Amino acid sequence: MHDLSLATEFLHTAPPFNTLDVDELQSVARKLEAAYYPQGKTIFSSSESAGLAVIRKGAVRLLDEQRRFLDKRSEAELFGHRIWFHGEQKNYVAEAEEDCLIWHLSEAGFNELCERNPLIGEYFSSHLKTRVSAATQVSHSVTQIRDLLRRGPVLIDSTASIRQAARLMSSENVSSVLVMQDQALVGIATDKDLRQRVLAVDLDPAKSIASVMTEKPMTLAANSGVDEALLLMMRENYHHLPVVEDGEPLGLVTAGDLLRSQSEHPLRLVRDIHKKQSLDQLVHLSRRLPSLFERMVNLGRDVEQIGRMVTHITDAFTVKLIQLVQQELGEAPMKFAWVVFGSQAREEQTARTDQDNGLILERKADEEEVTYFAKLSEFVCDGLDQLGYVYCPGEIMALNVKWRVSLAKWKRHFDQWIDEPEPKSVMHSSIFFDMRCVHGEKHLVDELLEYATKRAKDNRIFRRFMAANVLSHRPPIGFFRRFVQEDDGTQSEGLNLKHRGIVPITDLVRMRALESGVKEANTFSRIELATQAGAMNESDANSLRDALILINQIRLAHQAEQMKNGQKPTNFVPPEELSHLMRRNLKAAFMLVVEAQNALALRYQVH
Amino acid sequence: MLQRWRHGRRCRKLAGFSSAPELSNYLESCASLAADRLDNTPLISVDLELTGLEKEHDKIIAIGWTLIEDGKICLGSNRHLLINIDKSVGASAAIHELMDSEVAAGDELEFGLAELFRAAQGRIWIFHHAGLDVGFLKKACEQWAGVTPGFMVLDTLRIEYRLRKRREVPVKQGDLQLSEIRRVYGLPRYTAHNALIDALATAELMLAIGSRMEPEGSLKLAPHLKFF
Repeated sequence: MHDLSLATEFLHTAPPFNTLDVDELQSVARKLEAAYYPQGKTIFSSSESAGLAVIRKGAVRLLDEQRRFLDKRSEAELFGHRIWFHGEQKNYVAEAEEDCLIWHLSEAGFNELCERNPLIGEYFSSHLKTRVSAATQVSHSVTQIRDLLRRGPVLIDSTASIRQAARLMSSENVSSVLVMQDQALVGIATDKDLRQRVLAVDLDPAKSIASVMTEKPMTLAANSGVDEALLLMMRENYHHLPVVEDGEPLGLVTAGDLLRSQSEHPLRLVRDIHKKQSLDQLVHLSRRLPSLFERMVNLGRDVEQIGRMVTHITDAFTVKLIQLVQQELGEAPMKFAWVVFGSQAREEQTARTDQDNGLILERKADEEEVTYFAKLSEFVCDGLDQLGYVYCPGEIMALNVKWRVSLAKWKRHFDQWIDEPEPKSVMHSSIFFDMRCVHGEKHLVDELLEYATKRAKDNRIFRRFMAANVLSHRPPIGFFRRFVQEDDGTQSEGLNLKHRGIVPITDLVRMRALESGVKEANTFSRIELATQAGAMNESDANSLRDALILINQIRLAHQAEQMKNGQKPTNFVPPEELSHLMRRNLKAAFMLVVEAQNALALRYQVH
Repeated sequence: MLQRWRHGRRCRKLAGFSSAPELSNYLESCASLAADRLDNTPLISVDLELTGLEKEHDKIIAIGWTLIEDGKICLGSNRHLLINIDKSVGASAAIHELMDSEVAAGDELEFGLAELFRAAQGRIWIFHHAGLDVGFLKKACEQWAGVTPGFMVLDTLRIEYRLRKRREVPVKQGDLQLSEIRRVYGLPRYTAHNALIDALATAELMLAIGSRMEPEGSLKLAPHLKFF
């Protein structure tokens, strides 16, 4: 047994010391001095040069200069260095919360340690923002679209005839051709175009290919990822997309190419959903969801894409259920839109999710029409429940007659929330500001969204209520042993990552979106658009985005782990299951959120 | 006060008779040794591992110590020396987890004592249950250097015992074991057991007792000293 091993063994359990090799640990241990502080004794006040302190035993309470509670730390945790509290580095006093045995490293020893070990220095000096941002950089190799191109593009000039194009397609054995003009891509013509726009209507094949092509086709950048490309194609219902780089066509991909490239791509499920013809078959399919989710998380896909893919699958189930019930009920008696709210609208669903939806009708329904939409809603909502998207506990569902009304009535709902705000109604209504059309007449949803956004934007009193609501969900400030540390000095058990981490961020961003009139629901898109609109600065935008990614990564990983163990996924994480590093990163992310909340509180003068 | 003076005078006298320079220096330093407060007096916390309790025929098989400066334990001063003895470790091996082979690989007792007394120069000793260890050290010094040195000691067991007596806390068998007192003071539990760990554990306990007896300032040492 080495003379210092007692010290080095313990240090090794205290990050960042666990990253040091034995020699370095010994050189640190050699300089440590152990001191004992009885409960209540001041260990130091940061006006002194405190160096670094390791808690060997006991607990330490950190207070600001007015003796307000800042944080509490326990065994193997550190203090003495510059610490971030609520988004800023503050002077603080350290006091023994319990009888403490503290290992001190002098200022000189601490500086030398940081100089000799740049990574350790970085650990102590890094800004909260860099810390969170670094933690979100998951290393995973994303297959790019360019890697999937099997051949170069088949190009034809826009002055060529339909016949020439058809012959080129035959000789090259391809089903589509890219049409060029002055070296720029101007259109795409496919087998289907030749069939529908030429043969079926007896068009003269001597006419120019430009007259039957699809103009200005949507393109994919060569460096886009497979998930991104697939989502785009499926959402917009394109089967072929040209791939370009710097404006130059590199080739063409089909959805089939993309799906084949990944043996078990999650979006394959969307295709399978389309093929099914009964609720039973869909229920059978939905059993694949847990393992699919687990695989998405474990393959290290980024959380934004996971949210979009999971939601896309929910959308596909929803659309299929509507189609199935309409096969029985017949065409709808009027135009309508199936609208979704909350996380489905934001395309941020995870493993555990309930349904939030409604129907927007073109006009007030008569008795017969009421029955039609009641039957439709019942089938779809019941179906979703059977597929695992359980009924909304708040009954925000098309099943509820209140949320199955005309556009005009919907507007009146919003009027009421906005004109007569009170805390409870504001809390319940915020979910409705995340809105997206899944099926039917998109313009009905657009109009309602336009209306609601404009009214909210123009009404400062309503927004002030919303701000107060946003501030009612505060993240915890950290962890203490196996508890969650609250900012008033108390502790609570277990951490609900959704309520304490995700909701505060989506609420904050929704607020920003409303302020700047952004109508997108997705939080990442909102951040981007609100930044473009000047409502958020780049640095705040990055902070919130990184915090959201980080908290979600931990949440999704936790859910995947639960599912792997055959448990139901929850948002509830016991702190003892979090590693030191996760705790530290989460804490930094929470602090970024608190920082943004404080800025909001200041802006609206609410607390 | 008188005791301290007597101790100093005796040590100074003995210094001239010691055949080991490390012990002479230690004895010289005792003559002018000041015992003020816990946070400004240099201390050395020591523990010995023994083959048994009889100093006449049992042996020292390990010496562990650590130094306290300004009321803080200097972890860099930790020392743990295994002592090479001829006789087999015997039954006590089970307690110390020291096998004969390890002990045989250790240092000569003379070397261990020289190192210990060099470190102890100008310091007051801390032991938990001083009588046993001091007895062994005295005997060893006699054989090594021809003199029986004096010791100015803070005995954590004795101090805690007197503290409890004064507060009329009943003391039961086993209550004053090092690990048991440490538990009361909220100190970490050491699962392993050797001379250094116990020396360190005793040093931590001394600081804990000191800050409990004198929460605001620093403990005055004089009333708690014991002279051997």
